[in-house]
Amino acid sequence: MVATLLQASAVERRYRMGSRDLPVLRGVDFSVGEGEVVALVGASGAGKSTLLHLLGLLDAPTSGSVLLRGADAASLSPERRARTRNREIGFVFQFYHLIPELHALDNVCLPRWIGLGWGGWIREGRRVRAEARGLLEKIGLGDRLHHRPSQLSGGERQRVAIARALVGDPAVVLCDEPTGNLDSRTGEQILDLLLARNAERGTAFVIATHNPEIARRCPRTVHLADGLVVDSGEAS
Amino acid sequence: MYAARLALRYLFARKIHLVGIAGIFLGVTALVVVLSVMNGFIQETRRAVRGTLADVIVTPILERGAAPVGYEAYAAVLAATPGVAGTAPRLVWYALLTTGDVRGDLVARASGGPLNAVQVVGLDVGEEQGVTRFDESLRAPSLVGDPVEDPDDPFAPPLPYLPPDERDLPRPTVIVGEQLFDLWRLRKGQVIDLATGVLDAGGREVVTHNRRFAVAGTFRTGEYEYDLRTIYLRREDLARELLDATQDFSEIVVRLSDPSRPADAVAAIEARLAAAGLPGARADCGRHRSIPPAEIVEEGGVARHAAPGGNGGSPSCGREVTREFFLVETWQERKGVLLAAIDNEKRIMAVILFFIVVVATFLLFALLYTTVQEKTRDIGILAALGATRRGIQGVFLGVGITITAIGEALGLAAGLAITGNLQAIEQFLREKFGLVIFRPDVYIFDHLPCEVDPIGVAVILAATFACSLMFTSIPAWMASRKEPVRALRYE
Repeated sequence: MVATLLQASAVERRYRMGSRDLPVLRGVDFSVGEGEVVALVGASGAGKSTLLHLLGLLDAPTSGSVLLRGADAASLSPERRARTRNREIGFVFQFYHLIPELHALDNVCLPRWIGLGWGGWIREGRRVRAEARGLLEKIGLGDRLHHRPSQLSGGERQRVAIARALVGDPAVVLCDEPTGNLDSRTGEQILDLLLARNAERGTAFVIATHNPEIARRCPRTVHLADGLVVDSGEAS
Repeated sequence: MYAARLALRYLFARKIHLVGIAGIFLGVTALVVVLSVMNGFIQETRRAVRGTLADVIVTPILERGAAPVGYEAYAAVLAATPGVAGTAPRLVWYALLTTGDVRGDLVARASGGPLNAVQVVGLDVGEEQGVTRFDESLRAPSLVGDPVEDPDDPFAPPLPYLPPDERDLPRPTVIVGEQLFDLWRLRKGQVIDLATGVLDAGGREVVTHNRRFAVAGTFRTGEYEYDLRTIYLRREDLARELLDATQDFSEIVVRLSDPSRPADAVAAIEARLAAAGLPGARADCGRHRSIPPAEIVEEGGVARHAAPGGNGGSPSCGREVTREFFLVETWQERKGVLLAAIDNEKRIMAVILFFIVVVATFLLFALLYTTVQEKTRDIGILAALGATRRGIQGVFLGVGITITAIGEALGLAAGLAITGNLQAIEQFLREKFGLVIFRPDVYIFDHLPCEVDPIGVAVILAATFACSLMFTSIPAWMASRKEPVRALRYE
């Protein structure tokens, strides 16, 4: 039996739009186990990104709870949540979200630097850099280490973003339409990268996508519609 | 660490940040230069003012009509006072100056202002040695005067310059301040008239005296006002020729063995003079000595020792008292208003100029505010990667602090470079563009004074840093409060 890594129970998320209350998630139950790869499928506006933000402790549910390894995220202070996110969770976004002023290698190092502080950086700075360099070389960007995001193609940027998500060896990586901005061939390559990492290190992935091809390659698919889980994919 | 690294990247990625650096650079440069020049003015003025005075001046303030006599008695008491290294008597009076041979000019000057009223200072050349800087003022390089022929015998008649009919006369001589000499277009050997008045023996009527003196030369203390209004002459000449020998001194100038600690010496002088019972000792009713002013009351024009409590615990006696006292002043106290005025001017300049820094640091606020807006998505990314609020705040604080540090370093370097080469810059501007920054004829110095005060500079840098930190911390705090999800969606 696979241990539950992340669990959302009866999660609701509403946003205030002027005087209106806009429900985005309406009582979602969702869980992902250690080393599991889950595709989160749904149309635009179904609530995929919102659920990822809640699972990544970037946002708090209006009601319900999000548990990381059984610990309620709501019980953590903002500082503790940030540190947990840094240690346990990686993010990959549709639009890469790299820091434009940093070159590829520094972008990949960034999550580790955030976690280290001054003392850690002095002790482990070189090791972190070597680790990031190794990751970039492994995904075929060894000759792009000192290129700024603006000097990279879309596929290269996304690979840098994936390397950044993986560098701290997180327990789970939350991917929000990671291939949505790429051509199908590049998208396939990106997915290959993610699945290879899962096979190699047992990293769990939650991949939000509306691409059925991507979803088909994931062992489990969860369908979201209108803020509700319509198929948890438990039987698949 | 990442905060510092990102801060540097953000700083150099936006050229507009150079405006912030330039603002702080200009503010710090201006402050360092102007305050160093003001400081130079203060120090030069202190030196000039100091040049005319001794460490301490003792003035017996006596009852109306009475004049202090017997300098030797006072000198003996002062010589035995701890901390006193030397004394000299001075007789200070006021007179009207006329040149005698330029009547029309005199009328024009007299009607144009009170400039013909001068302070006449009678002194003993030998006694002044080592007590005041009288000797230095005779030997100082003159700007507009004509120094005495022999500083060791400064009141000697300037025989080569005297008119032939004056050479055999026992004419007393005077030494004139160089500014007065220049203003009145006097010349060495010229005969001038000094007119004054003294109370008669009964203390009721003013008797006027008018005597002629020959100009032996000029002195220069460097204090413009003093050099414009002062005439030195021998003490006995002043007493005999103009004051009917009614008094032989009016104040005693005192040199201290440790001028840096005048308070102890002043207290000792006051105590010794009071104990000696010399004229000028604090109010005395015959039964009680040194009665405090609070215990003296006026009754029908007569002062009495009548306050309750009495002196030293004994009851007041109601007797008539003298209201004499010794005015014992340090040179700083005597020139306190002038020194305080310049010091105050410096403070005002500092406050006014600091507004440049305030504006520059406020500019920093505006720059950082726009940077935070521009980098909203980056803030979301950092939050997603696990940056804490404090860490995000640190990124933008780092930008502001780095701008401030660079601006301050450049401003300090430029300020020190300018103050170090002020004379050359002033000369260059004057010769190249005809821009006269400093006019020696207006001021009492012949060069633009400048003294960098390290503590003052440190205060400027610290205050600029504090101001910058205050304005920077607001946008930095705003950055840290951004909702990560909204920040990630920011377009």
